[in-house]
Amino acid sequence: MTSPLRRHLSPWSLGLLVTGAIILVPFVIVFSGVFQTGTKWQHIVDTVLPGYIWNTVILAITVSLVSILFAVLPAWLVAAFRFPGSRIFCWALVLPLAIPTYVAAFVYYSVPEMAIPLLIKVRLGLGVDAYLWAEKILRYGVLSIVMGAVLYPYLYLSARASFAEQRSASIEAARTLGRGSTSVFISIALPLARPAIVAGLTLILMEVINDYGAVNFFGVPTLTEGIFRTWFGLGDRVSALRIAAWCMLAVLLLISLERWQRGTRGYSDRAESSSTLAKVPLRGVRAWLATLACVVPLAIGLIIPVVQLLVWAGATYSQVLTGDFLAQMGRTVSLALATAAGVGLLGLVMAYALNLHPHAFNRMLARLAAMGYAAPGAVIAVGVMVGCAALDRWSPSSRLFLSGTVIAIVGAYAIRFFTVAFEPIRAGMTRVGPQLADASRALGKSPTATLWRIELPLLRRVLLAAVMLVFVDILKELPLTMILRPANFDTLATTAFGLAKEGQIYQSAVPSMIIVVLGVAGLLWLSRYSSGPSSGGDG
Amino acid sequence: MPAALVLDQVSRHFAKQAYAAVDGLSLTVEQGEIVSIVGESGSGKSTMLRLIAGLEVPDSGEVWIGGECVASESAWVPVEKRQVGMVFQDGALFPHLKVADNIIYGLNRRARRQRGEERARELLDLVGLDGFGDRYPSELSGGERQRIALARALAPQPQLLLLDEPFSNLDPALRRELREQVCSILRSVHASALMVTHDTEDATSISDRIAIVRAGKFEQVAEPSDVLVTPANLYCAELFGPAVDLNGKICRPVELALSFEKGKAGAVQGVLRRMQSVNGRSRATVEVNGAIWFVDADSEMQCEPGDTVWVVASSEGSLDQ
Repeated sequence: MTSPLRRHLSPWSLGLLVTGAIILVPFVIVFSGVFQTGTKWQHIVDTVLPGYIWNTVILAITVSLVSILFAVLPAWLVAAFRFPGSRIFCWALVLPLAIPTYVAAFVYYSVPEMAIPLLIKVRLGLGVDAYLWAEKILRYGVLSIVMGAVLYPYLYLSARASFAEQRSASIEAARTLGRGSTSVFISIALPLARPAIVAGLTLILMEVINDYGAVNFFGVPTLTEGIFRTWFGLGDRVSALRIAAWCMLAVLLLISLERWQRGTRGYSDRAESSSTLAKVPLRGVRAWLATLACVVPLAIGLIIPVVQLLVWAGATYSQVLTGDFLAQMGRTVSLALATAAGVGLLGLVMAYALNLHPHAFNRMLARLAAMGYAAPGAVIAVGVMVGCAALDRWSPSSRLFLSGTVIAIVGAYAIRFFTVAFEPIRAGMTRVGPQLADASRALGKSPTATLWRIELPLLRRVLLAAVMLVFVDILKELPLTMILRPANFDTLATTAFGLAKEGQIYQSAVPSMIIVVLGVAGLLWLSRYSSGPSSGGDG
Repeated sequence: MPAALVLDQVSRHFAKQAYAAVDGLSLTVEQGEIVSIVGESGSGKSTMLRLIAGLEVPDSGEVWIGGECVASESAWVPVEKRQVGMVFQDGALFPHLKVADNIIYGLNRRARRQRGEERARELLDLVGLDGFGDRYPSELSGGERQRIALARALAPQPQLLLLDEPFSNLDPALRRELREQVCSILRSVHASALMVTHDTEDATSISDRIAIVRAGKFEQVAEPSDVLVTPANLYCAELFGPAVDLNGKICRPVELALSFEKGKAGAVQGVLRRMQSVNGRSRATVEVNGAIWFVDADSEMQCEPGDTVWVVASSEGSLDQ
């Protein structure tokens, strides 16, 4: 018998509280950085910080523009028309998402070099200043196109869903009123899709802020790169914390702007129904132009990189795939798998706990936990590292228990990817509904027994998909891993990046290719479990 | 023997709602008694069931099941320890378990192992579905599902059975048939049961007593015949069919008559809207002060829509239709 107040307290709600708190601790640490001044802060402000901010803003704008070009028009085309390949483009245009920005950067590293003869002409004709400008514009331009070509699918997905939804209502109405399709696109479809477009762009901008590998490789130092340089170059961790705090504030600002513009109308991200409405067939030149509009982003974002990686990997796999490499990969892959399984189980338990105690406070905790995935990896890494160092100082032994250990990096992965597992599992649980759990409880089974015997078997496939997603995310994660990895700890991502930085681009194609293959598999799972029929399973 | 269920001044008020979902309700269900809670959606009847089951925590009041206090200021027994059986609207059968495993799910491990098969057979026999043990819930019809749900709820021999709109998702014909089956099953095992429904036919056909709930409060608790014959108020009467308040007396259409003159004292003036034939009688639709009244009229009466008529209490009509 418990008192009424304690009815709401249970190991489950306590677990929610502890999990939420652990996820939020790094952010508290990072935000504390706003109020601290590191030894070299003034120097950083005077010299490099404006550049970090400027580069971040420029890159945000240019990558957005490229993404809009690559995503919005194809999304409209596949949603409204039929043309050669339109059915394939509809899902294939998502696939570049499987290529991490840094892998795309390795593939296109030589493009600026190919322009050297042109640059020399500029230098001879127009002088050094013009040459420097031209070189910079070329580098920034190529980087923007490369990043846009693998990040645009975020925008494509949200825009396509929005267009597909509109078709049945306003657009067909406009058509019957005699508007041509271009006019409909500009006067109705685009304005209606604006919330979805902004939502997609927000995700892209978050990825731009998060990126470390590509900007580092192309020598465009953004705020994330600034965190690395300040911490490891200048050795000023307090200033690094402060930059991380500003980075995080930028992300929070983006999220709030997106929420604000969405307003109360809310855009729906329902998956495209296999529409029974007839799409308008395009003929002749217009059809081939539509195909071209879809082929270009697909070629730059997927086909060229994959072919290039295959060629390079084919030439070097025998050197790279040594016993040492395989043993190392075996270790990290099993660690990533174990971490992913742990995060998946945690997500399952927490989703169930939230069902048991769905108070406003707990729901808010769940929303805040999503910060782990919204925040740049480097920011989380910095928060975790400072937190671990503080705990190590308190420990009586002189040994470092957390800093630079597997525990720290596994914990950081859990913080970053908790939402990746939690959200699909929670959605799956909502699909199963509360009744089965209620029925099990009424039949005398405890919450634990109910989770084990009812929820787990019914959510088996969703849980598996969630674990798979976290697993792929861990293997391709770069900035957080670079900061927190223990000595001699390499994931596929750090191996690829390390090889590329040493100039062994061809060799780096082997781990890169593995990442891409896993990424494509992950996307196919995702599309199956997010838009597929209810996976609750009957029987 | 203690009562199967005692509710004592139970209240539950959800935040963000103007009035309490359950507002100081008291009710007793005796051993072997079947009581129905009838109310419209949003009347608080489902919340009441969830409070009894332990899926919802009352703000105040006490719940006693089989003589044990399961919810009060100082006591709380969680749902799994209350020994209540629950039958949900669509059965809520576990889709990944075979029918037999669904039925014995509520038994403890030892009972499952020692006499699970036997118990499953007994219950399948009880609900008339012998040989269905190896099927999966997806292979059952709606009516079969509800019968399995009942078998599953009865398997652990609960102190009290709670039925939440158990027939509402079934076709009318199947619904009547299943209602009779469930009623005889419940009687044969002497189950104490509380059923929530919005269908008055469900309630009148299987229960010993009916409790009519509106906005979290009971309007009337009585035997079915009493509810039909002497409704506590117009609301209770209207739940069971058309009824009007004629000078303070609640009248059914059969208790009313039409007249062209004001004649009798207490006649109410109205405008005839239409005449139709219902079950061999002429039923007049009359607009009285903006409300629609139904009156069983004399079929020989010659009148046209738009005529002014008076509604009076008929001399011959009686309430038990």
